[in-house]
Amino acid sequence: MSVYDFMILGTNAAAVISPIAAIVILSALHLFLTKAKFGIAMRATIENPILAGASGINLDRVYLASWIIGGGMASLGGAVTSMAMTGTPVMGGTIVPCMFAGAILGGLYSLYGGIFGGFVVGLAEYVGVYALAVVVGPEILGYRMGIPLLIMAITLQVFPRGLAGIPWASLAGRLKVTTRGAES
Amino acid sequence: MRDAGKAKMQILTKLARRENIIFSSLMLALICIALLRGLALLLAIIVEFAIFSIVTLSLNLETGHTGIPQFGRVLAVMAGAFAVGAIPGRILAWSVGLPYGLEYGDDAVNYKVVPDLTKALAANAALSIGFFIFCLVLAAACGAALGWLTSRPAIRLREAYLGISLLAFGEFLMWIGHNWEPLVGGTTAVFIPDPFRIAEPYRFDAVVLTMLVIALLVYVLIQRLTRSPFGRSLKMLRDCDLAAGVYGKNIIKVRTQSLVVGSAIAAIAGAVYVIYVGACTAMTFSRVTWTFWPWAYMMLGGIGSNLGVVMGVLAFSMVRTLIVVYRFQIFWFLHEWWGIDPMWLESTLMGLVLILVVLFMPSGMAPEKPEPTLPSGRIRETLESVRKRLSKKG
Repeated sequence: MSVYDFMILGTNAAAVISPIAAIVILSALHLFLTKAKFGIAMRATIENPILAGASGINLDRVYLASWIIGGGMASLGGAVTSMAMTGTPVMGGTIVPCMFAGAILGGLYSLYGGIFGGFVVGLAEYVGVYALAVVVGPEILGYRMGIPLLIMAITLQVFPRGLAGIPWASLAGRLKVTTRGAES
Repeated sequence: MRDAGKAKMQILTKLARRENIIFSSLMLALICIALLRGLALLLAIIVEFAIFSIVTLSLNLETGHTGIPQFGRVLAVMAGAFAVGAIPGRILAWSVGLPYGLEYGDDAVNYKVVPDLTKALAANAALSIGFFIFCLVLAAACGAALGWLTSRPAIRLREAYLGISLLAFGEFLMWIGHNWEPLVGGTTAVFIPDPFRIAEPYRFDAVVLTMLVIALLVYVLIQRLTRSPFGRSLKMLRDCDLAAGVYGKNIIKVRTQSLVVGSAIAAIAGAVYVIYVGACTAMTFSRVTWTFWPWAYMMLGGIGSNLGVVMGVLAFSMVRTLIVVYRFQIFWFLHEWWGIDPMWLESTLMGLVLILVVLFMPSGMAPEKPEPTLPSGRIRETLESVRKRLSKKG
């Protein structure tokens, strides 16, 4: 437990605050991106910048807003992380490959892909390494970083655009996997 | 009379181009450093320049010319370094009759074995040179093999996905080296038998000279490669891969070739670096030093321009070495007045320069020029003949 942590209802505050913050922020972001005019303009800009600019969206402002939102969310994540574990200046550098792995496992152009990818990567890293340590022995613990990266590499082989790139809607219709976005 | 003036002006404008001005001022600065502060500082600059120009040229081949977002440059550098750390020393130890198995990576064994090997190398000049060349060839082969291996799962992916996959592979190899002790000693270093001990009183000068020659050779090789039909097909792929596919280029194959060649060259840089340092640790090969710094050098010099890349590396390595050497003499006021430790000044500077380059000089010091497909003399002849024919008609 870190110095900045405190207790809520008998458990560590970080364990309570982080899921609540995640749910609140993601709901707000979902509403922003689907209901608000600026959020829809943002999605349009990423989809097709030229067309969005032609239809009167200020691209610079959209990029600025997306940087601000992204930076704010990342720094909130950092704050909660330093509550849960020891915060150091180099903390970001050590966990950034895993975060990248989660992001592209989920798919870069989808909000929900990010959630799902992050969940898969985090779970695989800790549960997977625990299971391997029970089977193989404790010397496997050093290779903990490898598990999410391996999962990412395998997933991208099958779905080159991440989990969000799977055409879930058409999949429900005809139960057939079609891979999109691959060059060959 | 007017023609002569015009020609003079043309020569002057040609000389006043940005890259010529920057290049000559860099050379002037180097000469000033050598005259004012002695040859040792110049050699220290050249060490950094040589190693990073090899890495950055190879990065430029992949990113600047082929358009692969190579965020895993450290992987190939590490492949070369680990190959030199693990294999040639073992072969030498085996031939002399010293322990060469898994225990070679153990620091308690390694520090006893390697000095004996270095002694054996110092006694035999031919063996030393052969050892050095073997190291380079082995590193290039390992780098090429690893480049091919990583290209297999990754090459079909799109930009950001490909870049992050390559970054992840680089990170993974570093963790293997850090955890698996027999490879390069795990958390401790593996020493490397020193082939330059034959030049003993002038070992440092010999190493620096060799490194500089290798960097020059790599520059000539990459310059020739990017001007060949192969290099032009790389650029075609970068500019529009759909068009390249339509014209019959095998996109996957060309990208794989570029990755393999670039990785082999970067691996040579890793090998030269560990031979120069004399030891190899996994933790040395962080993605900041060996991936992001070459990116910064490339962006400063000009993406896609080989001369620009070399100039960018030269400028950066000069400034960095000067900061490293003089940071406490010159930048003492940072600590005295604001409490900023000048220890990390060069990293701060790297970030600042990157931002300034992107803001004010997005095409770099020496922007990429269109490659002519014919020698310039023949282009001029053709233009002249076309002009004559047109004037006859008119």
